[in-house]
Amino acid sequence: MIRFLLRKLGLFLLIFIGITFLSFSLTYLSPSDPAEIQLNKTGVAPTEELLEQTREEMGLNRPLLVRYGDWLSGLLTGQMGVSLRNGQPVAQELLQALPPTAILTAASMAVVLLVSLPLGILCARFPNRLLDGGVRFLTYFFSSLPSFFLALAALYVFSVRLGWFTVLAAPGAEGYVMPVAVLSLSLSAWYIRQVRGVVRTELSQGYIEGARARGVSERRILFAHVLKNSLLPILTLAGISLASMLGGTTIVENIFSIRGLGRLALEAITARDYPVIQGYVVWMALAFLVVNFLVDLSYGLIDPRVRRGAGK
Amino acid sequence: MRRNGKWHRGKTRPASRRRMVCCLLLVLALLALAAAGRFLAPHDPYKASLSQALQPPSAQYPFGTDNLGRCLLSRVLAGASASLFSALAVVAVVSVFGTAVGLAAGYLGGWVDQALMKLTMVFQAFPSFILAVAVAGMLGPGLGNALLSLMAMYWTTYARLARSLALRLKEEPYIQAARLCGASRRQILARHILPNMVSSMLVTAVSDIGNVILSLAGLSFLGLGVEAPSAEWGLMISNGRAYLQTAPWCILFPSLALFVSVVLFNLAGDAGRDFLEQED
Repeated sequence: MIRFLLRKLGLFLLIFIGITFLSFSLTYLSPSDPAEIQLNKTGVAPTEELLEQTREEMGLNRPLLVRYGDWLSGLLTGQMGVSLRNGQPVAQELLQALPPTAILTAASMAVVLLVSLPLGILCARFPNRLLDGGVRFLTYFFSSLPSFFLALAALYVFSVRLGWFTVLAAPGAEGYVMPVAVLSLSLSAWYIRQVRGVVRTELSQGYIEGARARGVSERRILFAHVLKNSLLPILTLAGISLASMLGGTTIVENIFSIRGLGRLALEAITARDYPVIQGYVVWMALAFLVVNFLVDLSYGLIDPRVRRGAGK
Repeated sequence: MRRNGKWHRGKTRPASRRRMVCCLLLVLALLALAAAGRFLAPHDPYKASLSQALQPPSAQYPFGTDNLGRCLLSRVLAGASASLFSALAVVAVVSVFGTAVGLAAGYLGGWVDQALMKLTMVFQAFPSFILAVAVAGMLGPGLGNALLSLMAMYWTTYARLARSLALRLKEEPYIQAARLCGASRRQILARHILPNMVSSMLVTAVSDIGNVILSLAGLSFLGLGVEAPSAEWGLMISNGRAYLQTAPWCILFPSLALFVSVVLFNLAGDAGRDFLEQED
């Protein structure tokens, strides 16, 4: 178990360094010079000499790795510089926008699991019946629709036509109903098919045939054997699907005017507020990394074979 | 993976072949429509006339007009090439690049494999759409930048697939035989491994096109892709948002065009996959 943990931890650290380094280097993609932005902000006309001096002051002339190290330690201690838009610390900006996105993501994930697990299992258990066919058609339909169209259609039908919700996000729980519905609908379309596939594969294993021959009841086969063995792949897929969920929040927050991280990131992009964009990317990637690391670790806890396999 | 031999070929059910041919023809028809879009357009897609703003669909303007009085049908037709051919270009580039990376990793093995795979893992560790948003945001708006950011998001799939295929093919007896016969590394890669991977890579590429179309439209919708006044579906939908209450057709028709294209490419991808599995 210890070796398993160490190996996983090593990989985690490696990817952590990769992610942070890549996010750090994103600055080099931007066509504008940070020193120039700094000078423009103070209203000084930038001359070549002044630019050079500002670069020196801002530490832009130091070697790449030194600057990366500084940036990384700042990231870990919550000092990620100040926003170029309003001079607020980046960490504070991000923290303020975190709760709506966290609520949106957690609620949508819960809905996805509640909808997809039973439906996926039912479709796998009774394949090619009416339910399976209907679900297949619906999942195909919804996975080919852009999520922003779904969101706009929901706004049109439920806010404009029926008047059930206000067009601008209402404060409190009510404002989350439509965003959560839209986000979870797009993702469920993908997830139901995955769950169905995993359970179908498990049901076609030889030992199921054996259990049937021994007279084990169908219910017991499904719950005691199939679900237990399908749990790990289903969990992994849920971890991976968090990525598209987080990506979806940028669009959904924007349409439903929720003041979350995705909206903050877009405002930052429009204003060329690079520190905020950088902070957003790196923290989103780290959140995704940590969740998948935990899923990976739970493999070892749930399934002793994984642990031993890794210890070899 | 396809094993050549009459018996395997003979087993292919004509139904799956027919379905694939049908889907491919439909996709080709769609692409032809996109290529000819500018010429089929009944009006100039860029000509604004404010007196005709936000007209509902009619005989003169079958899809209605937008807030500047531009004909939506013409804009949907003109936008097809921006949406579809850009997606095709992205998929073409990432599949070639990813295949090269995966081949190098899988066939060379050792530290090359380790380093390249760690690199793909880092890229995959980013929530993909957020990576695209960040890259596009850093580079600034514009179609070229949006395409670059999509490439950063999509290449990893191909690298991983090509690597696993190369690893499997490397152990096939005929490759070992070729090596024993004195074939060089380059000959083995180019003559034996690559041709045997092409069909799998191609099917994956076709199934990916729908996703790329959606991601590109998503970026444009957020204002990170094609810039106004270009006709592009995602941007048109974004423009239509302000008129959701009074002129829903501004959103409906570009969305419908997106939906139909994505469904067609997805169907073609699925048909290709089924065909390949039958053939195996």
